[in-house]
Amino acid sequence: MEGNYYPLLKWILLAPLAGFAVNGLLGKKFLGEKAGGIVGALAIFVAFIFAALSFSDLLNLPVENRLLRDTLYSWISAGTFSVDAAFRFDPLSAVMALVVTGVSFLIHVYSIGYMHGDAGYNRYFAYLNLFVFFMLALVLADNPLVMFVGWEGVGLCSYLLIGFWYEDPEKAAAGKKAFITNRVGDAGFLLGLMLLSALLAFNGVFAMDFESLEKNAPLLTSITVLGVGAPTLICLLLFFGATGKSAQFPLYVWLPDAMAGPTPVSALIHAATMVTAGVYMLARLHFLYELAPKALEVVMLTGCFTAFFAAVIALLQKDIKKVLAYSTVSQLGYMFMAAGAGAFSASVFHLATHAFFKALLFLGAGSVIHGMSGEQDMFKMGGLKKEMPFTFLLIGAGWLAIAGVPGLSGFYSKDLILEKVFEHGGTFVWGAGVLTAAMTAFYTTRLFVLTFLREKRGHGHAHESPLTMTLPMAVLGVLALAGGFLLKDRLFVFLEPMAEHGAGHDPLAARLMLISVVAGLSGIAAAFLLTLPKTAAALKRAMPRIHDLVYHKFYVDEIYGFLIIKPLRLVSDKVLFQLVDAGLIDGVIVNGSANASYTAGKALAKVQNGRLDIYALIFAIGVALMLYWAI
Amino acid sequence: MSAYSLAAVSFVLFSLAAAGFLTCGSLVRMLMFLELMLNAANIALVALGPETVSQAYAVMLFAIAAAEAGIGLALIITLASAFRTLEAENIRELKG
Amino acid sequence: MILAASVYLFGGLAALATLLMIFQRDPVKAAMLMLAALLSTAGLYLALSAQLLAALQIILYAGAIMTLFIVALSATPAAWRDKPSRGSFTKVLGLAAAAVILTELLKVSAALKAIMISPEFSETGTLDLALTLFGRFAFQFELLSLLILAAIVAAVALTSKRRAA
Repeated sequence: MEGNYYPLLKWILLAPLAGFAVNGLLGKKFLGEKAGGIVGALAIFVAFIFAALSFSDLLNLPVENRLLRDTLYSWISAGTFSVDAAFRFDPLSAVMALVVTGVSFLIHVYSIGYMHGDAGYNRYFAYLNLFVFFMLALVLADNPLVMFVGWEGVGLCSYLLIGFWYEDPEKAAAGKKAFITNRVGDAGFLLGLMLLSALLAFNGVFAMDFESLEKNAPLLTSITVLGVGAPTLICLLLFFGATGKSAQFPLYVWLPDAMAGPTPVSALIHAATMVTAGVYMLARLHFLYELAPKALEVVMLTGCFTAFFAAVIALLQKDIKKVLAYSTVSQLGYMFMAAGAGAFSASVFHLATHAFFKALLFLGAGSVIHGMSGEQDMFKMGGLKKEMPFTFLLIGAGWLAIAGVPGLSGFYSKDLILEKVFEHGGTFVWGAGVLTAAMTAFYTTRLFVLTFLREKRGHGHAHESPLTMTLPMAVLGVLALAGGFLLKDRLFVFLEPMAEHGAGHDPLAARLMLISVVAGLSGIAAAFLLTLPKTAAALKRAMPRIHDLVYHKFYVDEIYGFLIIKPLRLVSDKVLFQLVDAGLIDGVIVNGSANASYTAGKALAKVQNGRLDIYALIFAIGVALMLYWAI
Repeated sequence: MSAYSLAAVSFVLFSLAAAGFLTCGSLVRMLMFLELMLNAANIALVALGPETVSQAYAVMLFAIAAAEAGIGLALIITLASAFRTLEAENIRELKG
Repeated sequence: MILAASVYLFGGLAALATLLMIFQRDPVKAAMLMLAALLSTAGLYLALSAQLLAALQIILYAGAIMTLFIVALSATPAAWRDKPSRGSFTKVLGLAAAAVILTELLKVSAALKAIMISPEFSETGTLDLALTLFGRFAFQFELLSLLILAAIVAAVALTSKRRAA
């Protein structure tokens, strides 16, 4: 196996795991609040340092051979099939690891201030560390199975953290919804994985690490399963898992509900890291997806549809976190659009910039909520510019970044995606993307305007957040503003081995860029105009039905409830519970076997009737039978 | 004559005694048939073995049969006086 | 020739007696039939040139054991000898079992057809028997006396308890 042995890799993972153990086992009793928070943040900081060290070592290697490996132990060894718990560190993993550990560290510091006074403080940090551990396992995995362990693990931690305040049944239900929806996707993922390994094993390939998968993937092109080409089917199944994890249509419904968790959790998990796992998976398995152009088309169209759909819903939400949630879904759609167009490094670029500005926006929203003592309805905010100046500036930075103002990070990444989509997907998809960009600018501006500008609609005084919260936001602000410009070309050169589309630009690039910038700016302007109370009311009166439909998120949850959940409940109750569980298992098997033994016992007891002559008779019959059979 | 015929005689006696043992009702009768079964076995022993040795065994079996009959009758009398009946059918204390 | 005839004669007598015993109701009459069977066996022994055995059979079986049975029969009050009708099913089962046993035993001993036995009258037969009994099997023979002692003790112990109570 190529790749240099680099023992530091496992410590990137083990530091957060240690943090989890310390805070989980000892936190409440021995550490208390202050030390618990410091331990949690420190664990991630250590992981970040290690990741940075690995990164610098990676840079010292020659370009063709940029790969570091480490193996923890031999995990599965069953005959010819053997899988190690192994990690790899190549340019793609490096980018992901740095983003994950860096943003996580900032959010941990933020949480020290945000979760102050909460009863489950140590439990929170323990879960957060555990999450980072699993996420790092996901991005550093050397084979799809370890990646799946991380995949499942982040789903679990997401459930634990969304339902963090579990005494509230609504919040607990949100956690459950997230986990179950993820699970549905994971079923598809597992099927794809099984199909992949089975087909490869059929052709005599038994190793499952990414290197050998990349080498042997072309073997699959000749096989068809159920009439569909094998690579296409596998990629579609894996993508189904990604729709669950990365909140694309049809499995995106858990993300808006996940806002029930603490805001830093939303920032970390549902903006920067977990939801990007699907994009990472696509980038990691790009060699497989390139063999299945039909699957890539499905990916692109799904991403496009989701981006548009979610942006529409975000236009009318009134909860500040819900706007950001739908915005995340929409931006993830952008990333999948890029991946579907074959521009995997562009999707990773947008992943990074999105992590910066979305985390910033979420943290800012958390700061506002903290300052307003728990109020989340934007229509009850307003005029916070004076009361929370720092937050105002930082959210402003995030707002400009996401809206695609030229020069900021969002502009570069979104623009690149739109350009690549135009090259590969044609005008229709590009047009939808541009329209979505306009809507993105609109709803983010609406958020900004309603929260900070205009006159104050809320009551009481909002206090600015402490330094532990504003400092991480400031760092993210700097990254959101400057990150795009700094990373722009360096990222692509770095990711070069796995990116086909380099820095070559379409001749129409300049014109496309102009159109998207105009769209963004017009969105901003429209927002300023249309959110004036009178205008908004007039629009609402003019299109009441559409307003209702959009506000209620197109009733998707209700449709799911009717089509899927209700029949499932019915089947579970009538068939599985009454028929199978109570009837078959309890009645026939458990009680039935007991009854059968009892009856048999009673029948056999008749033999012992105390009569000597009957005993002698049975004896003789026994002898006769024995003789008969033996002779 | 062939050993088979002698063996056959012994077997026939044995089966007849067995049939009687299994179909009679009274305890004493059962013991009588038991003695006849033993007797039939004795015949087989005498007829089929090497001469002297089998006869010696037969003598010993006489003694054993006598002892057995004695004890058996004692048992039956005790049992019968305890249950006031000689029929095996009526003694069902061990039922169940 | 004579051997065969006498064997079949005595054997047949014994079988007949046993058969009649099965259908006999009266216990005393059954005991008489048993006596007949035992005496026929003695005759059989004679036919096989086992004279001592014949004598011993008459003395022990027909004499002692039979007497014991008759005494026991008369010692039990008639009231105890009620005769409920037995289920015919069990009777048939018993007969069937016995028949099966007989068939199988006969099948097993089919190999014996080849062996011929012709016991000769020998003058020193009894002497040989005595020599074997008190020579080679002396230990077992003496052990038998112990056995009989035990039987006596057991019988007395069993039946004396009644008297004590």
